[in-house]
Amino acid sequence: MSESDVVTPGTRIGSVDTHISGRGTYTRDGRICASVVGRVVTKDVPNQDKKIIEVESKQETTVPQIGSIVLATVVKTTTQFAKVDITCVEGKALETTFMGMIRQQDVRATEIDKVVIYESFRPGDVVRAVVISLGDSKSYYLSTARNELGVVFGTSMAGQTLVPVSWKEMECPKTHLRELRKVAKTI
Amino acid sequence: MSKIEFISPEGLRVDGRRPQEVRKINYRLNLFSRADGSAYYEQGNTRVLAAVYGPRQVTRRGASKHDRAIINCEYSMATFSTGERRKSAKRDRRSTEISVVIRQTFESVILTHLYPRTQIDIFMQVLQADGGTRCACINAASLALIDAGIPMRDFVVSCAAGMIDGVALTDLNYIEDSAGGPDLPLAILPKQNKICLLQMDSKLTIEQYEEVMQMAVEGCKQIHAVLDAKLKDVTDQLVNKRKTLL
Amino acid sequence: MLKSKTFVKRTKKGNVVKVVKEHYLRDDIGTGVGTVLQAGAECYVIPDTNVILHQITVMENPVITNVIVLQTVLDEVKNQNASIYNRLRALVGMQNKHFYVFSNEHHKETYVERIASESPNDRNDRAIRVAALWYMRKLSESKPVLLLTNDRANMEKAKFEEINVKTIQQYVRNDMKQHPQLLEFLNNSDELEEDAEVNKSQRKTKGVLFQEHKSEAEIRRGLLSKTYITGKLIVNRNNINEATITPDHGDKILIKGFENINRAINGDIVAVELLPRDQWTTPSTRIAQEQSVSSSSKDDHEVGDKIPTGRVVGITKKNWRMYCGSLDESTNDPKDGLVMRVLFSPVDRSIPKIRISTRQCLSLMNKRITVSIDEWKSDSKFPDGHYMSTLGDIYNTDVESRVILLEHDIPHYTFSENILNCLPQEDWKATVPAPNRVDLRDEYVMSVDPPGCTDIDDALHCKPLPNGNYQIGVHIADVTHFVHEGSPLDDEAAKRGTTVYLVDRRIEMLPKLLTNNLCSLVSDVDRYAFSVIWEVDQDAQIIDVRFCKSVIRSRHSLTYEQAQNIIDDTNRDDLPAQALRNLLKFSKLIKNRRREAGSLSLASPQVKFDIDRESMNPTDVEMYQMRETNSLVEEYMLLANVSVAKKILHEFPTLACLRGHPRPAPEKFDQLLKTLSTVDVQLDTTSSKALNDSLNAIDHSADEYVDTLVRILVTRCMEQAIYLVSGDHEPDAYVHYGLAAPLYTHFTSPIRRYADVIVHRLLACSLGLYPLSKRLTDRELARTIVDGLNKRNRMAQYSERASVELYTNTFFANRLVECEDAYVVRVRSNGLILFVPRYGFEHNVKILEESCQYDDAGEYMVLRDTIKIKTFQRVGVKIFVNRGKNYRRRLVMQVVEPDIMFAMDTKDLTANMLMSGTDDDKRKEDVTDVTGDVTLFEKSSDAASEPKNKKKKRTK
Repeated sequence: MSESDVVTPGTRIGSVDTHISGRGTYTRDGRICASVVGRVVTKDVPNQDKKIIEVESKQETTVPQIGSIVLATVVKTTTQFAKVDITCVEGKALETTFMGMIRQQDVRATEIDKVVIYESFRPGDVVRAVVISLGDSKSYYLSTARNELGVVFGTSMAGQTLVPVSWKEMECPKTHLRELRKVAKTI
Repeated sequence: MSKIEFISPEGLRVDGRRPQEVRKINYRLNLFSRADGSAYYEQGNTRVLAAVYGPRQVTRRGASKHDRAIINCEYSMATFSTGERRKSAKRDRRSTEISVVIRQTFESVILTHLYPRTQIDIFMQVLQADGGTRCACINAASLALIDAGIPMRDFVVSCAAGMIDGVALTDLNYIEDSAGGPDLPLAILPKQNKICLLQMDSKLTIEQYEEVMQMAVEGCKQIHAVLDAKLKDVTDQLVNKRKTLL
Repeated sequence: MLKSKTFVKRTKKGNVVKVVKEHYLRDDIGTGVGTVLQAGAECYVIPDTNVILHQITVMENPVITNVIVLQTVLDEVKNQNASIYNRLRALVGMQNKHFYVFSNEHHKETYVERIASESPNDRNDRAIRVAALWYMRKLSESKPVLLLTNDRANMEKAKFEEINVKTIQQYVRNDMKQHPQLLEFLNNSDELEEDAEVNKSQRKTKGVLFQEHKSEAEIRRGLLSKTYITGKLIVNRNNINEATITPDHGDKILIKGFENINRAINGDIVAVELLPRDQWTTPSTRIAQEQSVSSSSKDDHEVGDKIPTGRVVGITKKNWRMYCGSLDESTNDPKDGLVMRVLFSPVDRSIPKIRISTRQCLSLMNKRITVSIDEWKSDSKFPDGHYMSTLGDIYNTDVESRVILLEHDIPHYTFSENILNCLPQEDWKATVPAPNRVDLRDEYVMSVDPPGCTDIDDALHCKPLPNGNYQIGVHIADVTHFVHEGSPLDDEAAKRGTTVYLVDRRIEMLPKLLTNNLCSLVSDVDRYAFSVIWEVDQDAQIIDVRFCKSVIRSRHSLTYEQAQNIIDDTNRDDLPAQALRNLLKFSKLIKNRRREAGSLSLASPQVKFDIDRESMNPTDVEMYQMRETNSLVEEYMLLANVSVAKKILHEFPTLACLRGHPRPAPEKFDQLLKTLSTVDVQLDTTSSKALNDSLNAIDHSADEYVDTLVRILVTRCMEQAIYLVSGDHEPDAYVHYGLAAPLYTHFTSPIRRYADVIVHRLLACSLGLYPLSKRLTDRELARTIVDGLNKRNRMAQYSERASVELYTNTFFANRLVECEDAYVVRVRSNGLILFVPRYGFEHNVKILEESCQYDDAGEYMVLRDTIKIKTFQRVGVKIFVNRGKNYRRRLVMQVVEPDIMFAMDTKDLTANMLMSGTDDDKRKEDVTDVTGDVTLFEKSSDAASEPKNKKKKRTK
């Protein structure tokens, strides 16, 4: 199967002996087959003789998966958790949102027992988070317990975009009032 | 017996096809911007639309599966799809049954384990019915899924075959369908040579069954060839376009 | 290779529905030259639709070969005339005719689309021309393609397009000059004028006699708006100028007068317009005249209620077929070699005379010929037709028998090659042991049949069992072992449906090898059989029944007489004698039980002709003699049939092929009861048992034949027994009224009845010997077959009756019977209906009304104030045959004792034929239709009939 050939689902594009099955493919009986329509692409992997074989389709279907970095909008906060709508997965916008939940213990890595949800997220905030589990039947469990995770966008009481000032505070540019947040460290 | 001569001694069917020929096939992809994938499919005078949404959050609480996506199918016939206008397009027994059949077909084909806790909706509507709507819907849904980029094990194609006056015919149209002979809708995975749907309500001798079955498989392969060729063509163009844009 | 073309058309089916059909055009349809058409043919002929429709007989002639039948033509023919379509299809199927069907409608280059301004006909004509042009281009000029059309416009256009075109007349007269015989078959009705000069002088344009038929569209509109009524036209056999239709809903409509019948022919589906109420009239109840306008019947004597009367406005479906008959006897100066236009009189009296042109007028005189109708113009008193074939001399019994077969549409050709190929080798031997077959060769099996019987389909055995009970076995020829389902042989047997017994011949359902040899259970040979074996106790109560396929070896093939003699011979006490006596004993018990249940004992006149072998003329007539042994065999056959019926219905509740006999409608007895009440005979018709009891209670001390006579008359009130598929009917319909059996079927004569073949297969499936095949489970197919069987049976009975009539006539043609006993069956206002026991036929005698007083209530007449004639009176008659017009021989009967010659209407001796009741015609047909059933006619022992007897009489 040469590169840049367009394949349809089910087409055999390689074997597990020579390639590693990548996106848009699946393996069956030691064969790698396309699962979507698209072009066959092979990529080198460092430290491996085998190449990854992928099918590059015009449209990638994305759903949150464990470990995915997602962007979510906070919908509601309680003392136990913050409820969010996942809108973006790995930098790709979703057609429809998925429900997610950031529990008290997942907000930050330290002093977990002292976390106050209200002092970490407010409804309307956009949060960067990582999917830690598929959660219960309703929501994915998300976590912001890393420096680069947390609120990336929020509005102040006065309706202005907050500006981060520390890892737990943000400031309103108009009123200069400080509001508490679990702020993501900008990379 | 002054009934219709379904197959003339010259070997032509009422519409001029030979027994093993399927009708003319045409389709378009990506009709709707809101749906993740959509397809318009016509096989002779049978015309259907299919739209795929998802994988998306499960709408019905509790229905979701933690290890795979669930699939919803809805088959309906437009009120204007038949010769005589139907009163309402409300779901009847028949469309429920077909919906279930199609869902089962795709559940075995879509790589649902890739999308746990999600659902994939497939909506199919028959715009014009001229026999073989269930097979046409499967083909349309298959195309719409591909359009949506949902990974599947294989490209599902479906075709019906039947037997009238002892002659096996593939892809029956409405007149042939209403002749009352046996009708055998079949869906296969052409690359793997596997059957994923087979229905038959009538009794047939084993020899006749083999014959009809062979006819249906041949029909599926013909359809697959047509669909596959065009799909590659379209994707090729798209890829090239994107290249030039880049 | 697929090109799609969709078009839209509207069809009507209650409401308007838009039908969208696809129409694929192809490029892979060949010219047929070299495959079907002969490559070296002189010329390829393309006939148009009308040429096929009008000249199918010419096309059927062997000299016409290499014809291209366009699909357009084929479709049009199919829509217009199914029988011609079938004939055309048959031609296409014949290899030596080289008829090729070119699917021009599906060919890319010959498909034409209808232009808006074009009528469908014009479009089709154009399609034909386009196809012809295509052929001309395809085949180089060296092979001319000839378009045949008799349509002027089409011809001119074709000439303009430089297509080689001719009329059929030009073609036959010029191109086929070397085959002058074709001219005979040519239908010249649609000839173009320039060709028609020959006939011009002969054909004067007369005034229009008939109203033009309404167009198809008008008829459809009329039917929708209920101004017209449609139905099948039934012409009164006794009066061709009177016909009726019975619409699906509503009352019978009378059509009187040939102008009103308006060129419709018996059996046509017609549209009728009702006449105003003041023109309504009554059907003629009186004895009618032969084909002449009903001038003599004075309509002042109308009795009864006037019924709706109408006139035909159009014919929606023609029922034209081939007719047997002869040239009109009165043809003046017949000559050969000259084309003469002469009249042809069909044998079927409900068909009008037909005018034909022939060059062999003289040689056709006194011959039976067949003719078909081409058309009936509105200015012509008679339809125009053409000669088809000669059957032979009139009155030759062989020829007349063939006429009977043809007229009743009985397939009597010899079996074709591919059917005979289905037969086993002539030296086939039963292999023993055979799988799934019980070896019953040790049983003492015997068959009892009429003398000279060659197709023995049943045999019996009977032996005492150790437990004091008896075992009785009925063994039926295993026909289905040889006739495989779906084989050409099977199809042919299904088509024939039954063996037809005419007086002088037997038209067999299966080839001789099977009927007379391999299936026949002859003695001392191993034969395959299908056996029903009962265990009965001393009172003949059935303890157990089982069915099996078996192999048997019959010890004796006895005649009824021999069997009777063995039973009666008190000196004999060997195995066969014991078995027969036991069988007889049990049969009587079983029979009594059946009687008790209400089984009817009826009678029908059955006669037997002694036929001179050389001349094939009958030399004597006698009633068939019944012995105890006849009823013995019959009883076990009945029992077997009933047992099998139960079994197959139990196994296959929806697929069983049963024989039902509906209970007669009470009205059917009305006339009979009225007549009988005049002679103090009372019948209770509430149930079959009551009827039977009251029949037995008839006091016949005065004249013992009265008993038989009443039974004959009751027979005529019966419904016809029919085959039915159990799934199509309510269980009520399964009942066999005459036998008082809740279930009945035909199992015992597979050699001569196809129904039995089906039953055999079902029974075999129920025993698990074979899997249930697709054909057996196809109820639609079963229904078609069963309907066909019922029709064939009816036709077989009619033809059997016609054959008896023929032989009766032939018999009396050579002699004059001076005085023979006859009974008055019915007294009518202008005549008597008499029954002659010795010859078993009924006839009427016309009495001048002026000379008698008729009492309607008492149904008697008084002549000269002194001679009273009433029902069941015995009279003496003189019988002879009078030659009627147009070779229609008629029996004539005159009452000589008491001498009432003075009152007899002698002026039209020729015309009288029986009319039995007010709804004369149908009734007469229906009367004795129950004859199909074995037992309806088992009448104690003296006068009775049973199909097995027929076999005897006619097998010789």
